Amino acid sequence: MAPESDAATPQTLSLVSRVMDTVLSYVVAVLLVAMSGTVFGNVVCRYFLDASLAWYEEVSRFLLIWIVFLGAVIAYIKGDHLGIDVIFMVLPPKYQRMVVLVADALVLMCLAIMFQGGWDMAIDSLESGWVASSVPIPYGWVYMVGPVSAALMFIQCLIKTHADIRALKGVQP
Amino acid sequence: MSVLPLFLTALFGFILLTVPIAFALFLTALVLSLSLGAWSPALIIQSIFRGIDSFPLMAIPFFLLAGEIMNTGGISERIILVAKAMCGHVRGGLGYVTVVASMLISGVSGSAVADTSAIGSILYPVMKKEGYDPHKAAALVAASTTNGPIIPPSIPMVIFGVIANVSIIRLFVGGIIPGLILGVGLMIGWYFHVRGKARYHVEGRFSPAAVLKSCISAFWALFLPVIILGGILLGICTATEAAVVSAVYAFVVSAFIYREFKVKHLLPALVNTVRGTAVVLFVCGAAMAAAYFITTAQIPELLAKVLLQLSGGSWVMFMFWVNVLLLIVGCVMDLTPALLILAPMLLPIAAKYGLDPIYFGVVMIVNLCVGLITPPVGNILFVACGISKISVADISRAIWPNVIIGIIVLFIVTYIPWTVMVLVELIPK
Repeated sequence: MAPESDAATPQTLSLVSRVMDTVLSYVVAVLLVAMSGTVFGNVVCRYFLDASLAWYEEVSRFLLIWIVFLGAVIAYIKGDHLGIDVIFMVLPPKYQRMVVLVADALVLMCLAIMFQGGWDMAIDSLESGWVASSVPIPYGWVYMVGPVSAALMFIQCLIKTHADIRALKGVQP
Repeated sequence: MSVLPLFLTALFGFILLTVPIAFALFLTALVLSLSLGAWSPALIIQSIFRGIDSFPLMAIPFFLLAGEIMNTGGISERIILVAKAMCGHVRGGLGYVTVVASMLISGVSGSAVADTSAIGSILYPVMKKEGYDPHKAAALVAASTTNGPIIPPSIPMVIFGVIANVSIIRLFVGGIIPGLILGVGLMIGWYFHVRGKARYHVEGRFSPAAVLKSCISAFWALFLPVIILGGILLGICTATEAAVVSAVYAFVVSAFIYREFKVKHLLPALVNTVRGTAVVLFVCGAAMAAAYFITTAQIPELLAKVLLQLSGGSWVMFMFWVNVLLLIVGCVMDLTPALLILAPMLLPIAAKYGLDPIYFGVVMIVNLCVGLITPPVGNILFVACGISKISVADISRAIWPNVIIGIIVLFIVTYIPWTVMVLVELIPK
């Protein structure tokens, strides 16, 4: 697990994280309830009313995609994403801080490429007018969550990098 | 052919630099695509989406949600009381209670880590108060909850079923007997620990009336494993449907019958579920993207050559080396990423040896579950440390007999494939 950045982040920046966390928490909670309701509703229809909702599978899959990408942002803010720090832990603190910065730079690069690739893909899908087969939802809007979550994680990673640079310089909050 | 060293250097380089595994896989896919002359971020993003866009994978959030609700809503607590009435009266009885309760709760929840915190936070303080060796008690809590992903429902099995394109239900069924063997093995280990030790006093007597009373109070809770396993085993519903039904059922029981799940518990339960889901499926999507390039670069063929040379033509040696490899990987990597990275590489080789993918998947998961309690990286171990306030070093010293039991069970399951397949063959294709 990536080491928690210490409290070096100035208050305004941590406020950005908190607001993003709270807003996203409510959004994903609503999406999860909607996904559970859709799938459960179909089970009820199928077993008790002997009828199947044609649209439930596509809609629930789209909801899952949004849940995973937006949830990944929350998980990033909380430092949940799985990682390995066995070797890292035995390094002296000064080298640890440098390694953290290299990792930050790699993650920033990764997110920038994800944003670019995801944006291209979403725009392509929108322009081609590709629409889901059972509901009038354009695939472009489903895929748009990719660049959105990459951008949000990029902002979070910038905040973390800022804190990590301050930690390297030995600035105490 | 320099792709394999490039792949290994990139992946392990990024991971050792503490880049989270999902991002490390994405970056590795980028490096491989660059070296193969097929640079396309959009293609990689597309395979991430394709990796997540799956109806069977939806079982994961629903099983996680069911686990969250039953742990906060009083369902797990009542199941533990039943286990206590059943075997709380023998020497060191709470140890057996821990193992039995873990097995029952594993029958509903799909997440080992959530089970560890649920069972540990209830049973560990009681064991400590009763004068049990705190290190041994914490180690037992950790070891017995490794059964979570082996006894159905199981999130790693959902993932394996999707990767290998085999029936998730059959994988679930395949895990039942290995899970029981592990439970019995841990109880035998505990018996040898408590035997003749005065600190584990005998308390009370077995009373059928008390068992009946606890069962009545836990009736709706115990009905939950029945719904899930029954629905799945009888082939009435898919894993995803069983998962959503159990989440709704757990909610109804704990909110309206037990009235312990309050409105204030709702948002944390939903958000924790989403966090757990996102972590697993984000790695899943990134692993799918990397898998595409791993296959294009013919890395499984290279790995197959190495394994063939090591093991000759015999599946016995092949499974031996697979188990050794997975135990080493499991020491440093969490179950889900290890499964996602290695399963697509090892499956084609296992197929060459004529091994059933269901059998192979169950062995892989039993193996990586042992990895959940092996230091230095073991998620369950860390949770148990958090609950018991015991250091990783101390709990590691106390847990080694349990790790050995886990490895013995692993080899029993590996070399007696009957243990996995006997129930699987009972269900129609």
